[in-house]
Amino acid sequence: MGMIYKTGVMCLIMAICFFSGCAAKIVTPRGSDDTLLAREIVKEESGRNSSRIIASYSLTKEGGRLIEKGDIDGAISILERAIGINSKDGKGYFYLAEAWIKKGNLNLAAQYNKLACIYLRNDRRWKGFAEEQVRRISLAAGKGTQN
Amino acid sequence: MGSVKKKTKNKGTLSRFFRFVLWICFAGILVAVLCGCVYTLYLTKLVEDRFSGRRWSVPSTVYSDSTVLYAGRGIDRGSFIEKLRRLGYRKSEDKRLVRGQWRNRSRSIDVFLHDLEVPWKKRKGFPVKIRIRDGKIAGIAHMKTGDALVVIELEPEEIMQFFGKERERRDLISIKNVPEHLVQAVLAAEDARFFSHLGFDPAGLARAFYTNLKHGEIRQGGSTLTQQLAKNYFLTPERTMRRKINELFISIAIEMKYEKKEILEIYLNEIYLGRKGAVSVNGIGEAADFYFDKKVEELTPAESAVLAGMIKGPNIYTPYGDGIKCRKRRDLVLGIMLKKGWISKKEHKRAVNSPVRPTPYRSYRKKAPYFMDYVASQLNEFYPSAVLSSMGYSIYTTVDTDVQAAAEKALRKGLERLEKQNSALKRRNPEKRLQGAVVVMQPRTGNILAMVGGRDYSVSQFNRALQAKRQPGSCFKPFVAAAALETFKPSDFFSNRKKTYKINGEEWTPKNFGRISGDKLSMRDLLKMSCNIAAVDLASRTGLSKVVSLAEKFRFTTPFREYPSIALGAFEVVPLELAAAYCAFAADGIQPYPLSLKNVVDEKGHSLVRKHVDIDSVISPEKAFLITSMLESVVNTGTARSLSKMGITFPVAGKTGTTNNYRDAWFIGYTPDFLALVWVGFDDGNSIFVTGGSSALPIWADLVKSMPGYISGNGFTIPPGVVKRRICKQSGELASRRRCPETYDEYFLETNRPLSECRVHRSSGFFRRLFNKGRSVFGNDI
Repeated sequence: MGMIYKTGVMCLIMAICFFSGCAAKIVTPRGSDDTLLAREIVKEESGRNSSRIIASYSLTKEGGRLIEKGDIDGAISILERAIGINSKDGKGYFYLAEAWIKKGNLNLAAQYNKLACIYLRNDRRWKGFAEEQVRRISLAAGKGTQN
Repeated sequence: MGSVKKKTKNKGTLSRFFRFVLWICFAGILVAVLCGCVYTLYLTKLVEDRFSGRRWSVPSTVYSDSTVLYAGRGIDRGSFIEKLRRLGYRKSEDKRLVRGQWRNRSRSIDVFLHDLEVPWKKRKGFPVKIRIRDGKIAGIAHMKTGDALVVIELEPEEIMQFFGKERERRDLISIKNVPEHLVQAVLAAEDARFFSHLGFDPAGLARAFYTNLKHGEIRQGGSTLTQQLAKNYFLTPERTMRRKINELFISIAIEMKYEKKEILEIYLNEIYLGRKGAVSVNGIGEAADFYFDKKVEELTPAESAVLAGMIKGPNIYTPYGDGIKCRKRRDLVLGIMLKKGWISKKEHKRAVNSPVRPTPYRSYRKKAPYFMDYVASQLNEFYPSAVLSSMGYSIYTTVDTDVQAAAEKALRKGLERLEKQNSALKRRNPEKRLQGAVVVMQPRTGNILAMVGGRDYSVSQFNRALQAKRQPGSCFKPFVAAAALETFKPSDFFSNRKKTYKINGEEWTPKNFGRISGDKLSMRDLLKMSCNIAAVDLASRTGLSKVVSLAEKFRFTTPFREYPSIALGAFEVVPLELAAAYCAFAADGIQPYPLSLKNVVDEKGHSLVRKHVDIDSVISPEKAFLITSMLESVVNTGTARSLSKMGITFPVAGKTGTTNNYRDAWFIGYTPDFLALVWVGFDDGNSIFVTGGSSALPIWADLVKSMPGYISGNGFTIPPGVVKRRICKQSGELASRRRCPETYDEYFLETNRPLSECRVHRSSGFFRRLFNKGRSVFGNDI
């Protein structure tokens, strides 16, 4: 029994060491407010591409800000650049869908939403946002607002 | 008395006559002055009309896409420095780094960025340190604050200008930006009394008259800057009295209407200052860039004097011509500046002692010519060419100049290599030489990063990437497989036995390119080995109508017919359309429309055209993934396996293609980040004697190795709705644990996955074991 207990503890310690070793070093850009973001991203996608992901996300964030400011075309240009850097940028697709909803092109919004759903499916919070976006797109389509 | 009276009478008549003549003269002068005034007023209106509208025809400029740099991006130091040079950055000679300069360090490249002003972003320039390690950007930092930067953007590169018939290049400048020493140098060289005369300078005219009389030839012109402007704008260059009088009146009209500084600004932007190949360099802004690779505000007094000295004879005093003449003229200008007290003795000495050092000669060359033709054809839908050549629009495109250069180089080298390997491919007539085409795209956005439509644009402007219609050969098989996925699974078997089909009453028997063993092949293996017989079997069992209707969804503009040969790519396609169609496999079934033109803005920065990415779903993400997974096998163990020997070690999916009699050779390869298509063949359809794997594939590898910025090393993401199962290689069914001798993992649609366990190895009874043993010894024929 003692042997089994010891083996269990050892396995647990090894597992902790293994997973903590796997996590990439957090890249925190000095002087920017991306610390949490970087931590979040690196947690999600540890490894060699984390800086590419951070670069893409910084553009995605800027795109999101531009949507809030009402510069939809500007936002789309930035977001298209973001997905060019990181083709797995689920949040980029989400915001692109959001921008196209605002521009009234629900077909494009639906296409981007589809990609957002694929690439955000492992993030519970964002998956929820993407699913809620699906509902909004269907609702808007039902109202016949599509261009 | 009488004589006295007569004399008095005569005197009176004479004085009346003189008075009359005087009056006539006075009236004549008055009329002349009045006429002069009316004429000048008329000219003033003319001048106003001309100057209030567009003063110059400014050609529209086409730019590449901007370059986004971030930590982790692959970078080639040499190419990056070359890019900086093309963007007009200069190497810093000392410790100081000023705007527009770069410095090469052992572990970094320091760049003082130019101001960026593009439709999607505006920012001031600032110095950055780009640390490079192992061919990648290790970090970017602001050199003043030390802050780490996540992303920086380099300005787009100029790739072409739409010239009118004048073929003039002009970079318009504002008088506010012109340094004082440049103004003084121009005045010293051309019209020192500019600020004090009224458009014409009698003292200057008298001096010129005296000098010319003394030498018996025309040595000096007495024209002021205003007169030169009048001549350039309104008159022909002929030397007649009438033209000279007109010049005088127009000069007065200009002076009446405009401030001296305005006149000077127009003059500085108008003046002709030499040639850049077939294009004339007009204006001091363009000249500063062409001769010294600087903005006007960055010119030194010595450089200003060189440019000012050139006005008299741009082709005589050019710094690219006779160095002594150029220097003598410069020193003369500097001497006048000193004499006038515009520069100090110290400044004069420093300027005179400095060498004339122009930037290396850059002739005007159209970059990415095939791509530019494609862009121009789209622009002509919006604007006639007269507008493009005069309105000074800025046109932003998707092309990446580094990728474009890499594609051009890889194709050129690849075709030369093929000709070297097989002399039968050589042709004397340049128009009949072996040809090729390359298209590089971003599969998510449809951005065309590079387009090469042929080997040599000067020989043939036929854009093979866009205008050629060629059989895709085996590159079409993935579309057949995509159509089949609803009914069949990647593990299902298709016959590799010779079979004859009847098409319109005629018999047709597909053959494999090489020997492919086995009577049946799974869908994955038939793609991997590019098996023709099994592919036709797959197409006919799927239903040819299904194959055609799915292929049409991929937006091919060429027609397809329901023939079994469709499986082997017998119907012609346009290479660009084939590349765009493959994007759907790389991008979760969502196909982008190829995008080359992004923005058009006018001179004031107002957006005229803004094009966004346009995408459409053509197949489900699950099916796209299955095709990609099977095409990864092509690269890993199939007909494109030599890629790994060529240094391509990151995940790539791709397909080789060769048509009948080796007329066309293809390779299309992609990652989640980029897609590149290479086609090789003769325009007249002659055989190239090699497969796509031996001809197009090495070109693809060469190209991809030269575009490190697009290599992320990322694999493809498995979308929801795809499951992985262990399969028995022999039966293609779910592998039974322990019993199946050869198994592998296969991906399936969740809705079309194998449910039954291997029936071949189901029984472990004695007879079944004996049977299996026999099969393994004698093969599947048993």
